Amino acid sequence: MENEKKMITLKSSDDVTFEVEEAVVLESQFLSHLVQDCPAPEHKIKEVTGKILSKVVEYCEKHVVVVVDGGDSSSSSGDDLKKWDDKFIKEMDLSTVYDLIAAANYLNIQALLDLMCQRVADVITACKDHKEIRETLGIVSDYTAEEEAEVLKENEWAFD
Amino acid sequence: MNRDDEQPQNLQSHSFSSLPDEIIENILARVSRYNYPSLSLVSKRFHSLLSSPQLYMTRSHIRTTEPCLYLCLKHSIDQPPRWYSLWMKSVGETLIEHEEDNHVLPRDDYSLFPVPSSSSNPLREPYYTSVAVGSELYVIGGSYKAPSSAVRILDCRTHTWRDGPSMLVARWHVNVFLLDEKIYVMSHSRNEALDWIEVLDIKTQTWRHVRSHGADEFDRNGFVINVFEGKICAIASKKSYAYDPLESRWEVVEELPQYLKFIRAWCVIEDVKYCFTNSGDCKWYDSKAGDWIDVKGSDLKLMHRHRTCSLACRRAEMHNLGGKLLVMWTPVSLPGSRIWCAKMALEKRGSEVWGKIEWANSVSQSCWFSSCVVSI
Repeated sequence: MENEKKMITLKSSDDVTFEVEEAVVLESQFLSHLVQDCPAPEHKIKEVTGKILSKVVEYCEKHVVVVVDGGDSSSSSGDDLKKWDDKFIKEMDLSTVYDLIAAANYLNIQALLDLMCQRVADVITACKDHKEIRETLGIVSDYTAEEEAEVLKENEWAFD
Repeated sequence: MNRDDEQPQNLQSHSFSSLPDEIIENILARVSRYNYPSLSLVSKRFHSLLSSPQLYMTRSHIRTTEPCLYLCLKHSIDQPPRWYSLWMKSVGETLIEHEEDNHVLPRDDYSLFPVPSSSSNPLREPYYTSVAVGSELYVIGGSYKAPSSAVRILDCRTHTWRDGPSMLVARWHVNVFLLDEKIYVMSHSRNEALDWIEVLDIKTQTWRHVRSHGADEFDRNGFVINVFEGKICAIASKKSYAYDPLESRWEVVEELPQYLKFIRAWCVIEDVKYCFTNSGDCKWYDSKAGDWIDVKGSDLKLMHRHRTCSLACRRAEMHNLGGKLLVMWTPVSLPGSRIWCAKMALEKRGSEVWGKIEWANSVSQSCWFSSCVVSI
């Protein structure tokens, strides 16, 4: 059945609008409930800025297209999607990653959330020690010198 | 596009620290456990999340568990055995043969992490053999001098011990393996004809006897048991056997060739059987040719000739460590009892299998050892 595609407008917190197919919106559990419960043509997403929503839409559009085109989700389309995901996150700065994590969490898009969490995990893995992790992630240590020495002692077998 | 100057407060950019605990946990669950000691130094929040059992549930849910080697070492005859987890830190060196004096091998780095003792009286605890069930370790049975029906379970996520259901009979030197969510135990007991095999249903935590005929043919001379293609297989000194559950009988699968000598250990990696003989040969079973073939590679040759770690062994164990072959052995060439451990990557090249040693070291002085691979 070749139905006319239903379009939905998403409006960001700063009133940037995105017109997307309904299938794209359904990638988000939060939005699919919203669309079902409230069949308005336009939905305001107060929690997400235009900059981040554009990334979310870009991700969802790509994932919908590949799944539909792939039909039986053949391995080559899976590989292509993986390559696309890699490129999507490669040049993204960490502050955008955090915003996307918060957006994916809010909109309940599990695959996007997992992809972003993996990105941060890879950044952590690449750090040489806990000081570099603090610096990279902007974490201020709340340990006193004694407490830190205590944790170090707890794990000293690993630092021989 | 309209712009709204009144931005709600919560739309400031997020920082790492502003993310909720469940997200940070999802991130930490994707980092290798080998980084956890260092990660717990980052902040109190990291330390708390890394100490929570929930983290390990997430790891298993998102399938980021890693294989981890657990070792039981008995440092002297009269001391109780002690459990450790072995952390191999690869330094990426390759084996190099030194001229004349070939006793220098790259000492890849490692840590032995001691697991707290099982109870206040560790001498009375079972220790002889163990089997992994997910992230738990079941330690089963006793030694010749002290047969035991006791079972202790180590939760490797939290390193806490608890009692498991006792076996129906006291046993020593048990062979144990996991098949279809059941733990099979085979060994000597006081009444061999009736209770040579005992099975624990992990879901119901109940033991029952399973009949077995024909095991007396190989039982006396030592054998190594494992699961291959869903069947229970025993490799003994001259023949290999498979257990037929319908007939409750051990059937001969094949006569082993004379040159194979005694198989000390075997395991299965990607549906291929690998074995380690007491003369130190590492072989794989070519099911088309119906023969055991040497795993090729210069590393193996080098270690074989080596004075201190020579692969010829008194005792060996083998495991599938996340697709790599892990061998532990006590070399015959050493007067004491140093335990060696090597991790090998395997590669099929045409009709050959090549092994490259990625990690090797002598891990401890011990009069006895036993090992197990757990997913955490």
